[in-house]
Amino acid sequence: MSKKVLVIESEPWLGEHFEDLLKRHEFDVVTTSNAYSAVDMIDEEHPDVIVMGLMLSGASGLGLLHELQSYVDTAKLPVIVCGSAVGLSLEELQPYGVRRLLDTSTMRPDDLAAAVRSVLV
Amino acid sequence: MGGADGGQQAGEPALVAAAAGELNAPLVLLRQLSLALADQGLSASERQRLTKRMTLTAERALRITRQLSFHSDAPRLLALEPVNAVTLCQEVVHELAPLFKAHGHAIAVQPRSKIPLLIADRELLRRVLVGFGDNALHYGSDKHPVRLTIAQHDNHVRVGVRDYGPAVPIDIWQRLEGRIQRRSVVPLARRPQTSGVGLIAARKLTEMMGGTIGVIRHRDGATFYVDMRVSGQMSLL
Repeated sequence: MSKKVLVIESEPWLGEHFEDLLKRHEFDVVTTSNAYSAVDMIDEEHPDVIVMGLMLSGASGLGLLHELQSYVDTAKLPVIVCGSAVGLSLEELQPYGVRRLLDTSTMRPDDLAAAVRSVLV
Repeated sequence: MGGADGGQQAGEPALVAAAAGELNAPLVLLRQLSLALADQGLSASERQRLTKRMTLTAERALRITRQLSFHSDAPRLLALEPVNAVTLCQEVVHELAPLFKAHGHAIAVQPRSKIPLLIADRELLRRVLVGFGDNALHYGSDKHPVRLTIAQHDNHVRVGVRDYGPAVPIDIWQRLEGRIQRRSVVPLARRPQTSGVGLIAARKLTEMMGGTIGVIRHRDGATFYVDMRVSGQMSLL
């Protein structure tokens, strides 16, 4: 059974691109562009991994991460942050459940699936 | 914003930072789309779709750079004249409609009649409104098109761009509503893709034309607006 990835990206075309990249590696992917619907989708879809940007509509990405850390069932959900010039290091984001930080200004198409696989191990 | 000199000194680095931040998003997208285009397994229609998206994304980035150049050149370019807000808004919609359509969204002018002419530099005001429209790109749908609204308030004309973001849950909104300064000057709603450039440059350009900008938060979106002085031209007729 394929693993499910929730992509949360405010730029819809970028989110769609991430979705295409992950589907090619046979992940089951659901996508949203804002933090409010992301919370609903986490409840409904039970993703195994979250791939997200930090600039989201609705609430900020950090707000969403903080929210996820507040609940036992979502606190351990692995999160991969994709961004450019995020201004935060992985060490700073780890307390929020972030396991990987991908720089979208340098990442290659296969990097995303590799990152998802690495956090599922 | 402080005094004029202090505001200027504080404003320029902020503008540069905002410009860098704002250009980053379309450039990242362009890079990712170009990497996707390099995939040999794409069909002709997928290539066409990606190419169109790259073109529209590049045009969006170019609008940001144009806004920056207007910002720096505006003092010598300023040419105030009576402007018909309705036709100006129609031009803005004409410029942005292809980008909105490609995202599955819509943008439209809310029809109004008997709106007096306003005083502005036509091209500068158009750039300000296009900037607001660009910022609203992801805050609309075909059901709720982003709307350019025009209304007269006393001696000024308000031209706004109303967008529809995700609605804040009603209980949270009721708690926040009393505390939010609902008619404050931007920056107020820092959003993804929104610019800092749009807002910083828009404020400066608008103030140079004798107007003001502001934002009204709604439970399900926002209206970014400019207030421009009414032209006395019609009263002479």
